[in-house]
Amino acid sequence: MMLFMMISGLKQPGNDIDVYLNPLVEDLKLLWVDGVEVFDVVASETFMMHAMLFCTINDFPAFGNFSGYNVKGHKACPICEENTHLIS
Amino acid sequence: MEDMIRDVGAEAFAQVHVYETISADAETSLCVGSTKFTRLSAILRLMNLKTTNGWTDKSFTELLVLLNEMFPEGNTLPTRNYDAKKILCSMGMKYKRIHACPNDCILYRKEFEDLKKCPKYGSSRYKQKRNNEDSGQIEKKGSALKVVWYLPIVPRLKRLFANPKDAKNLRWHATERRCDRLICHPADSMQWKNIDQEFPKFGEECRNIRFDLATDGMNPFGI
Repeated sequence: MMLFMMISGLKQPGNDIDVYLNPLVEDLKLLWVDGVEVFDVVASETFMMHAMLFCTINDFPAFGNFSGYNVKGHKACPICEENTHLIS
Repeated sequence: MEDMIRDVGAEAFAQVHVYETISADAETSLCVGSTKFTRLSAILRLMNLKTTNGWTDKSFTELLVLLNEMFPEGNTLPTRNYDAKKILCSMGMKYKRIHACPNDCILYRKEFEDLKKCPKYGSSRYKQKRNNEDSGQIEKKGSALKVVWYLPIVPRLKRLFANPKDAKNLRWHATERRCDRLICHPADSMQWKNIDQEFPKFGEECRNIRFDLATDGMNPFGI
């Protein structure tokens, strides 16, 4: 597990978290498109390492901040989306 | 961490990109006639003790000062905790402190690097100290209002691959994982397999990394 960023402050950034994710996105882009030359001790060779974002772990409100999905109201279910069953 | 340096060995040192800058400290001996410790290994051992026992920065600085007095003159031991930390920075433990707008508009980096005010609402980047209340003149520039700590991931990954134990663990999912049709690792998931199919080049190399991004808040004053 690696800590990659610490945002200090009184309030959490909410939807503005994308501003803070910028440096990470840049690094991830570099890792995905070009790759980085890394020396591997076990095989004693350098290789081009690529990396991707596989999934995200967060609670539901943070999920809304990250993906821009609606997390409250009538159509809150991210899986059913438009077809969310609701009683109104 | 110390194990890592020992495990890597002398020849590998030159090849591992991470250690390029560190070699100078790894070669300087601690003091005249000392063959057992170099500047780097001494600091690593001391830092190891500091972190495992939870010494405070202040006590560590005091210890360094004392050690400096004990050793013969001309020793290369740093006298401050800060200096000791700086030496370890080149081991891929670097961090960047990026100033941010208190309203979360921008980070002061790249084209915004030298700005003093946020371009969106014009709020100041620094804390302002007013010397004269009546004239309202801003006399002194304070520290930044909001600072983010960014720990670059690329050097960290390089460090992981430089340590045999971690490098082995990084490919565990391809070499030692049991495939018994039960889902007990992300590598068993459909998503993983789909990605391998979609990007065969990426999937072929088992050392490629798949990231998992987790966010949460924490209260530094709690507990």
